[in-house]
Amino acid sequence: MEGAPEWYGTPLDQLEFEWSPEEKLELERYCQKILKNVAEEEMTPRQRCEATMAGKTRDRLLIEALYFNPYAVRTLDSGADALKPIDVCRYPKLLVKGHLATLARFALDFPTLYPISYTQELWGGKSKMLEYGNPCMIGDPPIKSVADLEGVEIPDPRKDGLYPGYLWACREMKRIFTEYGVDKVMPLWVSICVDPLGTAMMFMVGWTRFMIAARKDLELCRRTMNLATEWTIRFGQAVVDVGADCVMMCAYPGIIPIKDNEWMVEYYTKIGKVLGSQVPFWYALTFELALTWFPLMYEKEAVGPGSSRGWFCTEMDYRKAIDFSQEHDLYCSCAPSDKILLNGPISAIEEEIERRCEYGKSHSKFAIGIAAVDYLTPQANFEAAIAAAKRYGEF
Amino acid sequence: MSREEILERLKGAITELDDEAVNRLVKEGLQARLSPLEIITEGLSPGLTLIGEGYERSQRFMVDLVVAGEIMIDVVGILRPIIEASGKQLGETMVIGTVEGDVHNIGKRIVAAMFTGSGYTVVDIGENMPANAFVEATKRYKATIVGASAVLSPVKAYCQVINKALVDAGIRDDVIYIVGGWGMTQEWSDKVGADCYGDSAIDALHKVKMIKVGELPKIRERMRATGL
Repeated sequence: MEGAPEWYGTPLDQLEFEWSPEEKLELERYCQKILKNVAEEEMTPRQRCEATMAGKTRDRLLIEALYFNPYAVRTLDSGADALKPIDVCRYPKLLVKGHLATLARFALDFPTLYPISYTQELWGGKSKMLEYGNPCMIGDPPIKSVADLEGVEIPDPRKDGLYPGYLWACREMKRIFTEYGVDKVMPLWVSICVDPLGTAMMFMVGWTRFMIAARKDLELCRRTMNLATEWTIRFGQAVVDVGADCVMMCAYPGIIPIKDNEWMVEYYTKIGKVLGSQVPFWYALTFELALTWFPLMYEKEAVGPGSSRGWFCTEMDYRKAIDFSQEHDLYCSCAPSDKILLNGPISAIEEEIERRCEYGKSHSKFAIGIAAVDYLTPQANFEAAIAAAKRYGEF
Repeated sequence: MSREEILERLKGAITELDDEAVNRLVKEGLQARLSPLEIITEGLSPGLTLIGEGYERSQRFMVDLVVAGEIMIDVVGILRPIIEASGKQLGETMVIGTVEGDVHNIGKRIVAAMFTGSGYTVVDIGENMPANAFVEATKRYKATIVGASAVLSPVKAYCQVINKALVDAGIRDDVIYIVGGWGMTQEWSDKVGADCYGDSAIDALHKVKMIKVGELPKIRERMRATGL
């Protein structure tokens, strides 16, 4: 990886980043502010989250605010554009501090720790660090045929690439939460994006080749999906092991048609059962046509009892997503389009939040989503979204 | 098979993302004395447009658009030497690239395919491209349309750097400058000095066509009209 930090590829058990006394003070103060925010409401975020997952009474709707790493670092430097998203990929301590600062600043229900890598180079491809985003793949994806899979090993998130740094940050968040008492009131939400389809399509085979192979060379698709699924399970297990209380995975059904691709659902079922049996686990779906996958995903137990609890949905008809989820007793959070959050106006943001809250309140496992908070999203827009979610989400 | 039938089947084949059928029909079309330009603009392009419109109505999947675009680009790659050997050219030239600091290319390739399908010669200069690369390619290929893609929102501002480079090179008035990418708005488009922005590949093509026929003024004309 071009521009990789010195610790790249250092196993998690050998990775240590020391906090200075001043930084320890910062961590403590952030946690104190988080606890103060929590104390101002009737239920704690942990109680609210557990009640939502169980379909029980809540004081207000749980807020699933996906602000992600770039916005966390944006909060940390007060929007100065001095610290960049690349810095959280290089320095896991900044990732921790950014999330704590964002939680404290916006009085959120939980952090949204997001991966700092997508396996771009771990299947044989090349990648480079990027100033304003996660590292990206450069050149062609490495797998052109089944023959290219010879010798390809499933990466180990505890040892390979930037993943140990991410796991270190997740583990450290849990330790800090526990040390200062935040753990009792707030769950640790961790993402394992992206899903096997995204991994196979984007970082192993390439979009076009994968989709053409789905019609002509199913073995290539199945074998790459097998590897990507095993990777996802390893990654998911690793974040659970370092203390994640709930896990979300960006999922790509909806980017492709379900017709003739029904076989892909089995991979979600496998992941859903492994992770869903340990912690609340759900998908993030961002394509309108993901709705067409819902029935089969439920039928094949990729979602439902003993598997994934449900989904976060955006860029789709929220009424249909909520109706299906209510009918099948699934967790569902719905967010307005991120473009509205970015560009406003605030009145439009508030209206979109209100619509979803009003429609979703009848579903006992509904949460209001705010996503995805872009690096350039004005703080006033994000604040207005949270305030609207609390106001219209109140029972 | 008649020429009309071949064109109709080509449209159907690309709509079905059937690359083998497309390749076979292209050969049959050439044997039936269809010109390469007819094959592109009357056979493949209407099919690609159908997919684009279906995507905008949430009836087709994003990946359909990507795959159809790749098929289109491959076919044009095969037909271009035949067109050039006959002393003709595809239409006006568009230079397109992803701006410095960003490497996303899927949306850019869809736009490239859509313009190719409409008869333009598209020169894709790649990703993470500095402003001078846009300028040099515009001069070298005598492009009349310059497209800049910026998906990562913080690099959207770089579109303004490209605009300035086009101005400094003295070629800004000779081109239509269009920008696109996640979260791009009219406000951003104006801010960076672009003539228009594409909300989608179809929107990009539509706006460029409107500028060319005088139905949508370029930014300088709009500024003049509003007294800015």
